[in-house]
Amino acid sequence: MSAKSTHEYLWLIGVLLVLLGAAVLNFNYVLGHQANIAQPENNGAVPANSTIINVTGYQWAWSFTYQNGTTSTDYLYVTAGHNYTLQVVSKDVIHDLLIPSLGLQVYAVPGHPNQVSFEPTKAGKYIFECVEYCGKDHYLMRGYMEVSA
Amino acid sequence: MSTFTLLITASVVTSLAAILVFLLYYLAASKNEAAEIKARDEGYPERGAYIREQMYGKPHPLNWSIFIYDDAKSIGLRYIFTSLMFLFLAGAFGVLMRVSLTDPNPTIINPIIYNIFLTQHAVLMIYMFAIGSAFGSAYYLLPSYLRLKRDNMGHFSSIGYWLWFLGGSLFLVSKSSARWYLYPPLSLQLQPFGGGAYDWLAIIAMEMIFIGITLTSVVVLKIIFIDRSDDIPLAEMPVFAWSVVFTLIMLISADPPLMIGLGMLFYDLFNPIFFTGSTSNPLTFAILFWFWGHPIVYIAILPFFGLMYDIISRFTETPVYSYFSAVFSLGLLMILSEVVWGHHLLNSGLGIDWVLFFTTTSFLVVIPSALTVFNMIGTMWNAKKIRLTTPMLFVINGIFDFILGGVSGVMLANQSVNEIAHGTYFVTGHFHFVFVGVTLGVTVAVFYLLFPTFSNGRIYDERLAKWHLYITAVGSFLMSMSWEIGGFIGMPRAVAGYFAQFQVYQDSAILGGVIIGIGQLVFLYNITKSWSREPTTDPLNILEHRTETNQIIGGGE
Amino acid sequence: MNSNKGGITFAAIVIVVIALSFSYILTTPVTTGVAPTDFSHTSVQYVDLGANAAGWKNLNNFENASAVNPTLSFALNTLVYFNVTEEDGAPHNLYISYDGAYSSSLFSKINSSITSNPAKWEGTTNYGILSTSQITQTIGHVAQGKYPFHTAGIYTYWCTIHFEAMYGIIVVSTNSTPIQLAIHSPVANGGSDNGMTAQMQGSNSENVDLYPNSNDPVE
Repeated sequence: MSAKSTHEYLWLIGVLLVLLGAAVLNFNYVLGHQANIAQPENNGAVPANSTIINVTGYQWAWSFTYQNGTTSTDYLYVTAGHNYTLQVVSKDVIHDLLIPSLGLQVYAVPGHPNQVSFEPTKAGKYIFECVEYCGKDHYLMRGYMEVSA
Repeated sequence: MSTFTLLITASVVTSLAAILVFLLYYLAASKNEAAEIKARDEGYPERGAYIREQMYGKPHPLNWSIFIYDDAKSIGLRYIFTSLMFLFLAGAFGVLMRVSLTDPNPTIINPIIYNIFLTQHAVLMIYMFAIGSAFGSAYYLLPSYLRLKRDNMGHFSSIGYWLWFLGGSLFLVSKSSARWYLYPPLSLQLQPFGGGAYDWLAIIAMEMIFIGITLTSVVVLKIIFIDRSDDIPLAEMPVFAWSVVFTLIMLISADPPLMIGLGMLFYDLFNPIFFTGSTSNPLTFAILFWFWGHPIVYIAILPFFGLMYDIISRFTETPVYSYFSAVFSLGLLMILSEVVWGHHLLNSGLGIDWVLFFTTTSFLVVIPSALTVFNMIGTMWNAKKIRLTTPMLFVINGIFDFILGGVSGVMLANQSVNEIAHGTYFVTGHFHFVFVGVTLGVTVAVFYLLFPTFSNGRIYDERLAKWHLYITAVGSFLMSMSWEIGGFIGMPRAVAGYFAQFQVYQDSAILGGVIIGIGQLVFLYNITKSWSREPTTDPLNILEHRTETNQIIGGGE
Repeated sequence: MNSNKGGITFAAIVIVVIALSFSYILTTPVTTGVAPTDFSHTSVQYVDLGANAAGWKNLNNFENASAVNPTLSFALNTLVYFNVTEEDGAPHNLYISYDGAYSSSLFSKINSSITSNPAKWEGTTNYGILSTSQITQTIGHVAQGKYPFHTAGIYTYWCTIHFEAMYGIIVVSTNSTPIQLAIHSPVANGGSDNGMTAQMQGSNSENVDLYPNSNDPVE
């Protein structure tokens, strides 16, 4: 009986340790990176020194409007070391912009603009894609992010 | 085809179908009525007990009369075989989807058709296979486990079954390509051709499934709580009965939001005010959906945990390590399932508080899951000997896959990982580990165990069954692992094509998917071959026919 | 009931259900409208286009080679080969839709409104000349598709993925010579040895800078 209890306690303590560790790490991450988590546009302030890029998702492409009024489709041009805030809306159905290399993900919801901030650090060409199923050509709703030095 | 001919054809087909349905109903009603009278004459409490005694109490093969009689075992057999049929169907869809991804751009099938298969695979697997198999096991095994003293709501069960079956079939007919989420602006886009043309039918079909499974759930709960034998107290019920109780409470309490949501969605087709109007938000539907959508994935595994406990204690001839913690952890899973659903919408812009709350509660699911795994391993650990035949190996493989899937689930509960992996194949790999390992594995384990009874004394081919196991296990591991690795570097799911840089992960997943498909063909061949042989044994099985004499289930020490 | 048929019956039902479902779903129509029935023709022409999310690049050796979204004009019963060069690595396709018989009012209506509201003219009765898998996302790859113009009238051509930027008009005349469209600059016959006439529509692309200078942070 005692061996049985020992195993049980060891298991319980192990599980609880893993659980607590993960929960604390996650808690810290969420509270420390609020600007990097998708949130409603009217909820969060744009971080200082951040450049706003307006993103519109539609079936089936992403269009980016920069502050100087220029637009690009399926290509996102940013500069390394500079902070950007994406303000994301959708024209038709729900989309979800994912830039895997940045760990950045934000839904594009019609009538519910979201925003998320990020700061590219390394120059290069990275992929981004829509990861919320949005109809016939969902798989083509993807493009490249070019980070210049 | 002109509209006129179409109308004529439709009316003729509908009338013929109505006549057929009426004939079937007449047949069923008269047969059940005759059984009722016989039961009364021979002193049975009601017809269910009489039918069971006549049909299953002595060697009696599976036959078409399961669609006529409405006692619990007949309903159970209907559910088991229907869900197996949908398993093969939706599995074939899945394999075709895999094969069509050999090239980064769609080659074999058009994206429109790919999206139809995508939607149908998900809906048929979850609603028809997983839920059907759970109900089938419950209806078939519980009368023996609980030695029912009464079985008198067969009409309701039968209506529930047919609604569920018709709902699933109509969903297939609808060719919906809105995915099983049915997120509003997309599911309301009426496309003139191809997939999604009949999304309205998909909504109706989904409602039919819901009404069917809700009706059935009520009947099964009544069977467990009211109809079970007086000498089986609640605290000594088999773990499987408890898992069914928790599953059904979860189902009944979680599906009303989506039933209401689907009704509103249907209304939005004609007058968009709820989700797509000027002042409304489509995320409202997403919230209603996931309030049901998270419990459903637990509904698809909880009964199978109960069956795993039962199979393990049968094959090790050892009581469950800790009956209390087994039941407790299953109950805890039920409660937690309804407070973690928001983690499906972490990145949709619902605020930091939302993220904080739902990531934290998601970690709590680790506790009951770890308890369950510990309990199963502990049961095997204490055993003096373990019979390692196919069903037991399927269960062990299920535990292994559940650990792998569970670990990736804990990773996903971290917001930092979730931002990378949500919406990618990582999630697909996570739940395919659990579904292929636990839901599919335990279903076929139970099928193998019950095979002598189904087939009137025939034994399945052990060699083929082992091959089935090995092929499925290897294919499942290869497929889900490729997805998890590929997903972690950003391979999006639900796509008909992909960036060429993901080719290697897709190719190994295709290999895994095709291997799983071959495994299920072996299964089908095994059923056919073994059933065609001459009977060699008693039509008894280890699950049903030992509970009455041997109380090894439940009761703790 | 012969009880040893259970497995075979079940397997037969499974196979029949799978076969029926597959044939039901796989026969879903995916295109309608202007799909060509035969490729008979009286003349052949070649059009070189560059697929770019900024707009269809006119690669024929014309007066203004950098123009995008050229308006094309063909004679009736011309088999047109579209040589599409992938330019930016993004997925593209080439679809065509029919908008009606030729009249100068319809032409000017489309020509003036296609820039402001491109989606209006995309149409549902479209036919895919080249799919994304044919126009691979390999930069520099050239894919060839063909379409026989058996009906005179006004067509539009699209990349359905980037329909907001990649569209153009095709005019097919009723007689054997292409219609000379007065509102456009004259045809450059210079290097065009295949006798094709194509006109520039380059007015709609000048105000959109799709390639901001990457050295200049867009702020």
